[in-house]
Amino acid sequence: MTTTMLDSRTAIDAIGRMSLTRLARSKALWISAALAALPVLAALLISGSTKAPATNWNMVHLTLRLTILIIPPLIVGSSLADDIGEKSAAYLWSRALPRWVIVAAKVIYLVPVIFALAAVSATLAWVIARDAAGVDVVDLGRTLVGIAATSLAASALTVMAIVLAPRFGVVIALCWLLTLDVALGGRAMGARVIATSFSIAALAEGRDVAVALVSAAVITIGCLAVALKRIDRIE
Amino acid sequence: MTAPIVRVTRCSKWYGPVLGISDISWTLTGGVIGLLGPNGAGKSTLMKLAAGLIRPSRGTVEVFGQAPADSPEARRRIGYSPEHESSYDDLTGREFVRFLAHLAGVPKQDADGAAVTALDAMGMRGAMDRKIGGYSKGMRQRTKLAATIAHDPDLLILDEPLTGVDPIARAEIIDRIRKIAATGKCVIVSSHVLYEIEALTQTILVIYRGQVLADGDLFAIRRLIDHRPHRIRIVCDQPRVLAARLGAAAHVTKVEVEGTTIAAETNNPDACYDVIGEAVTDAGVKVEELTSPDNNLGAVFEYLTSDGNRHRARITE
Repeated sequence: MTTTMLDSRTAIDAIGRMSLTRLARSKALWISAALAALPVLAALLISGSTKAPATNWNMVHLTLRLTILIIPPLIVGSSLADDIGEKSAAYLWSRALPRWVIVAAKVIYLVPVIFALAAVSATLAWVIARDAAGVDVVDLGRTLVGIAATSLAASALTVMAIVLAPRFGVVIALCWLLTLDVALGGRAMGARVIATSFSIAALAEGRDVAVALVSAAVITIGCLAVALKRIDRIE
Repeated sequence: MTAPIVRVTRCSKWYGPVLGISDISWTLTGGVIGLLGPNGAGKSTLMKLAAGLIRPSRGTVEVFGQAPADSPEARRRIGYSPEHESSYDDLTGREFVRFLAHLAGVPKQDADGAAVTALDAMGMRGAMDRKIGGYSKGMRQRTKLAATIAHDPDLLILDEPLTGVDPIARAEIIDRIRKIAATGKCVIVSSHVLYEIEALTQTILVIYRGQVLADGDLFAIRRLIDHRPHRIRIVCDQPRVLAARLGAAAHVTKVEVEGTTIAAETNNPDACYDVIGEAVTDAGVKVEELTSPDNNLGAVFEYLTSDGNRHRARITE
């Protein structure tokens, strides 16, 4: 039989497609879908509300922000942890491919799933609650951009946590995103490098969009750089 | 001279403060070699180094002339079966093997055929479209082995492939590994059970506490063990009658009786068992328990380690 060295693109494609197949069969997808339904439920609750529109939209936003911070550890985190965990890493490590393609495959193929879940959720919530919340299509557009940026940044942060601590990475990522990141994310921190959730808030409210995007980009690039450097040394 | 397939030169590996292997030098030019050693001896560490999963802390490891940890090209020619189970329970055996075959360099259009062929060779054709999560331990091991051979590697590294499988599956796996070896593949297989290795090869590398104790022919090592008295422990209803018979035998060097238990040492275990058998048939001695503490790999290690460094040199008989 003739075997050849796989080029990185083909390897990323193979690992990415397999990750999607396994995700489709996992509980993580259904739990994530259930979480993504929370903003829609919130929208249904406020649709008949007489409170101020901003208050109503904030309620939707709160659930949306929570969702977008929990789903990346569930989807990207569990998938990567499965592949580089102590009992399974040998299968991929022993193949004729550089390790960075595993990280690349997870980000390229799974982050769009996270974005899709959150985007569908946000869009449905907007359709249901736009009158009660007083938000227009521009607000929805900003929110979607914020979701995209946050999906990427939160996933990168999760990837870094998994690579640094494969066994506890999902828990660490969840704790970070739900405590430290939320605590710092809503404030105008100096560097704003860990202000992932700030992206959505800033973009949705029209506040300092550039800073939010830069913040998400810094988080993404920084975390992925650490992960790519570290994954080669995992034993 | 045949170019070495694996060359380990003054190699040491630490996991933080824990020593994996220490200053091992070893060359493999072909055939089947059994890595023997108790759990924690350093077998898996040596195999992971050869498979390119980890890098040495000191020294060098070369496979096909390249450092496997840094050379995807070298890893393409290796088939590695890890000791631990996979976590790909949500895939079918066929999907799992096909995926890994493709990643090992089999073109996508050929990967399914390669997977089916490998699974068939491991006796898994009938179950290959079932989820791995529903497999028995033996089926999982065979699926892992199929994933190891699907890309037709030149070097197979099998870490404890027989652990936890039932006797029938064990015999089947041994038979299939022997068939693979018969095709000219180089195979490194580890076990802490002597007879499993004995069924596969006569060439062994004994590792203990991270160091090579013996490297060479299995029978030469066993002959070394036969030079020392073997201990036999017997529990019976007439210990003094049996002890008297054993004491009269020239090959028995020591007999001790405590309650119903006899502890004997002999230079000829087979002859000693004959004496016990005769005592059962002639004198009606009822033997409740018969054990030999020396008849396991632990005794080999005890023997080799208790004798200083005398046996660490290569055994070439």
